[in-house]
Amino acid sequence: MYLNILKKDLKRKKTMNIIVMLFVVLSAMFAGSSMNNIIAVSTGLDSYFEKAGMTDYFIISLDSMNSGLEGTMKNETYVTELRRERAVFVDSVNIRRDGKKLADVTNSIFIMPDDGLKLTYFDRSNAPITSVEPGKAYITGNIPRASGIEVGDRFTVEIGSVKREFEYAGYAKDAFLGSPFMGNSRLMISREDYDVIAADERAKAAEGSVYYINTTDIPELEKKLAGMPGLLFDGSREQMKMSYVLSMLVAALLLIVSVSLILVAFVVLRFTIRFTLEDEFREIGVMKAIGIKNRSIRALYLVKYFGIAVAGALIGFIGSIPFGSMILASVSETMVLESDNSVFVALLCSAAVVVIIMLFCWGSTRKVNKLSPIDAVRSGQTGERFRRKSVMHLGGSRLGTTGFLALNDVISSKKQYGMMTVVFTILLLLVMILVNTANTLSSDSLLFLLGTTKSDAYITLNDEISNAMGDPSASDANIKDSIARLEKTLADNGIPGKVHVERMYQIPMSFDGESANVMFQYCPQTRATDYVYEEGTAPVYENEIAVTPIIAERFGAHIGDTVTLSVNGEERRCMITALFQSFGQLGKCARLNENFDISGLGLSSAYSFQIDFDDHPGSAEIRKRIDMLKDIYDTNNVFDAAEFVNDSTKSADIIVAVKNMILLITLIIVMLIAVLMERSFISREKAEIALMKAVGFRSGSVIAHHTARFTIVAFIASVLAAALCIPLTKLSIDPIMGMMGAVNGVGYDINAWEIFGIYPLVMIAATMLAAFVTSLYTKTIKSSDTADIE
Amino acid sequence: METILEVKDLCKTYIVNKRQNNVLRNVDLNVNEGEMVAVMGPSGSGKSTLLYTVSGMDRMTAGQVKFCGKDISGLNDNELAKLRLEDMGFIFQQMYMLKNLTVLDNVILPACKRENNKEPRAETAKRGRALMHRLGIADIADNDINEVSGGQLQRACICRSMINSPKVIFADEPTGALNRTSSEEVMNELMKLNEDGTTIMLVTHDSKVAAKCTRVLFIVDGNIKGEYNINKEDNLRDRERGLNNWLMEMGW
Repeated sequence: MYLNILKKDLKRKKTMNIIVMLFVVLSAMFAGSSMNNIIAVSTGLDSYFEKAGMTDYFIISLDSMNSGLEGTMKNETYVTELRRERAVFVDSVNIRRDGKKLADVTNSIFIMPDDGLKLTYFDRSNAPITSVEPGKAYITGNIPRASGIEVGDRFTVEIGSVKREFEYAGYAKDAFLGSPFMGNSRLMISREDYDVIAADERAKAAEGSVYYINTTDIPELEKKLAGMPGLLFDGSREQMKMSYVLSMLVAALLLIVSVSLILVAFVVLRFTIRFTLEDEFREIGVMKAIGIKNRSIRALYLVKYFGIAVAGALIGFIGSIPFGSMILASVSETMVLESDNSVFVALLCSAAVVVIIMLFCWGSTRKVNKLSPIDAVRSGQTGERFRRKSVMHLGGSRLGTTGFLALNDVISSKKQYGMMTVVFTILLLLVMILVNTANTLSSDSLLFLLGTTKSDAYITLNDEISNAMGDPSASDANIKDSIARLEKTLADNGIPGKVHVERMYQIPMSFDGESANVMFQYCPQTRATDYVYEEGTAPVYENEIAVTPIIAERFGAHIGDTVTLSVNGEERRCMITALFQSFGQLGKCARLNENFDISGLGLSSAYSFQIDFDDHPGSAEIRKRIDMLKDIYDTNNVFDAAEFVNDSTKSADIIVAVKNMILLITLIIVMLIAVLMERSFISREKAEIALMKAVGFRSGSVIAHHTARFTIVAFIASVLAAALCIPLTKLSIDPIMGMMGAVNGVGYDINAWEIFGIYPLVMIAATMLAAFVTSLYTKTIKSSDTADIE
Repeated sequence: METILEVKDLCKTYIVNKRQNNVLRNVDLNVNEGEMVAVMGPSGSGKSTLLYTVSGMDRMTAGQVKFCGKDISGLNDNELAKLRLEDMGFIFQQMYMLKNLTVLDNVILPACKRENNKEPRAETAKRGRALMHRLGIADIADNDINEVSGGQLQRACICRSMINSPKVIFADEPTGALNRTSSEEVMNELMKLNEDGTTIMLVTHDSKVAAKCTRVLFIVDGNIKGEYNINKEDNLRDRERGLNNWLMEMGW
């Protein structure tokens, strides 16, 4: 008999059973994919570094200036492992396509043979790259992003007399230099191709090495390296982790998204199960009336929901794997983010969903025990338990009938609509938080973290910088010449302005027995007081410096301590007057006063040239001038302040991609919930719909009434989300910004039109559309159905 | 008296599992203004279908229905809805009401929904209260529908059917779900309404209810088998006796 009841039930309540199953599918899918993503993200960087074979310390050096580095390191007892990758260091000018630079990037590009790789590099599908076919090249770092190169495209490497053509084999993930912050690209080619390129005299002169060192004593190693010639970069594993901080920001956002999706899934699921079970009270009453025991009745429903749960969870499990990969794929461009046991975790989550559903059912069917047959026949209500539902009064309302009915329904059925409001609010908040983060990362709010002042325009002129770096004794004069040339060009084109550039000088620094190379920022055209300091006061005299907390910690120095700088063999004592946060050199840098004598110091690098126009133009005019400069210098690397931050952090675009994906997911979920809830409302309210039609409501009015209820929910959710988004953005993103150096938080760039306009409207429109299309089903309910409804 | 409802060759056929079920077969019927017509007949004879079809709630398969001289068979759904809203009132066996509204709000809902209704909402509510007062349920106006008894609710349904001063009220077994006392109260209210000039057409199984009407139609297998005019001059007991005798003749 049970089987017959079950069969009939499944057939007769097909719609509601399918709705419950769809929610189970969604829950299992979200739970499985989100849990996998949480595991992948939370263990992400460590697991990626392990997979790639990253070591404790890294050095990049020019072989011609430090050929004995390998031998020196091997003799040190604290060095437990040393790996060396040989490469030819070239500039973007050496990598060309159709006669032009493949990409206008500032950092050096390393050309390496496939058999000399000492790290594990991964392709886009996270498979290790072990060899490269002759004539092909994998590229890491920023070039693929900057050039828009596609697999199969051809480009040439031109050094000296060598010109060799390559086919782009694909993007490669490089744990050491591949983060957006480091950004150095590597070209991985076959040994055969490498030997041809390296045979050229100019290539030989540009040969260098990347050392991967495992050590028991990093401070001792750094001391050894201080003042050593030919070092282009040295840094620890912890610093490298910092270079992924923006990727981790994306990962952390993904974590928030995943947790929210799980939350949404279970809230909706619990509600739907309770909602459906309450509908069964009449039948439960009949069964009780004819003497079926409580236990048997509960068993009947538990068996039914177990069947639905297992079927739904199975489908959800299958869907969770591609869905999870889809979410991760959009955020793990530079990292290998994947759960090693994704199938097992997804299976476990699907099983958990089944268990949780059964617990929900067990809890919901407990009411069966308390009900008498009469209670149950009255749909679970007795006179004693009546609760007031109506809140508003039509007689006293100025709303139209349809609007009143919709609003009254929403207010009267707080649980049903409240649940939807909460879910919609969470989903919209996710999008808004991502929008705020993306806008902030692409605004000038983070300019201070880049160690620059705000200017009208920023232009990257690699050739000018390379020229200045060439001769250490003339670097200051060369930079001044570059500035003068730029100012003349501006004046000649009728847009006069002042130009300055942030320079970087590597200076050995020592304090209290500790010594290491430190990168100092310096700009004689600005004042040290123009910059933002976290603690202390700006270095206003030439023998004062400011350092980052990382440097202070490294040397055990504090504000007020005096350190020694070695400048061209001369020792200069400088006092630390302030601490400041900086993304520069991954937070391992310092600032000199503008009057510090840098003569004879070789320029290590420089930021973009900053332009402040004399006539202080508005943003539209600045935009026009930026375009003009792009034409004059034939480069795309001319930015306003916000674009400069975006270009420097290189993460806003990724966050925008994540935001778009979350927006899409949010819209799909919102529409699904609206469709499923509206369908179940229609099923429950068939009598009311028929009655409304019988007393003269048109089908259009009924559809408008049903659509308006969801619109109100979406509107309330939008208002709540708009009200909560600013504090919640601060609450959730501040800790992440803190990791990036902004320990005191940042001012978020809130685009009011987007937050209070576009996104709420998009969600309201999606909800309305879904509810409207579903409510068209009410057309099938006729006024004469009043006769058939019990 | 003018004919308010004119039915000719009305047919209604349902197709269930590829089987044709002719519920109404060539029904001819006239209802005059001010009449109170009861439709009686065994279960499945087509009483409710007749009521729903002539009131425009259900589509006829063939035939013609004229309401106040206007053929409603060609009207679209929206036109029929307007007709039901403005010129017809409905009472059902189950006391259907919108559960999220108070009793008064349910009563005035059709008035508020009326197109071109210039009446202020407060005035409509006042009218609703007055109607409820007239039917002796003024004290439940602000109650939720689950706070009142079935008899009170059915009287509220009568108030709702009356709120737009319809030309005719259609009632499908209005006392079917009520006890004897409530049933009598409801019928008395309907009689008062009819005395005030409202035309009523109701479906019932109860000869006591039908005896309060002016005319009784007896329907069998989708056809009106006969009709019985009740003498208003007789007292209720005599009317009932006369009707029961007629029903026996009809094979009830």
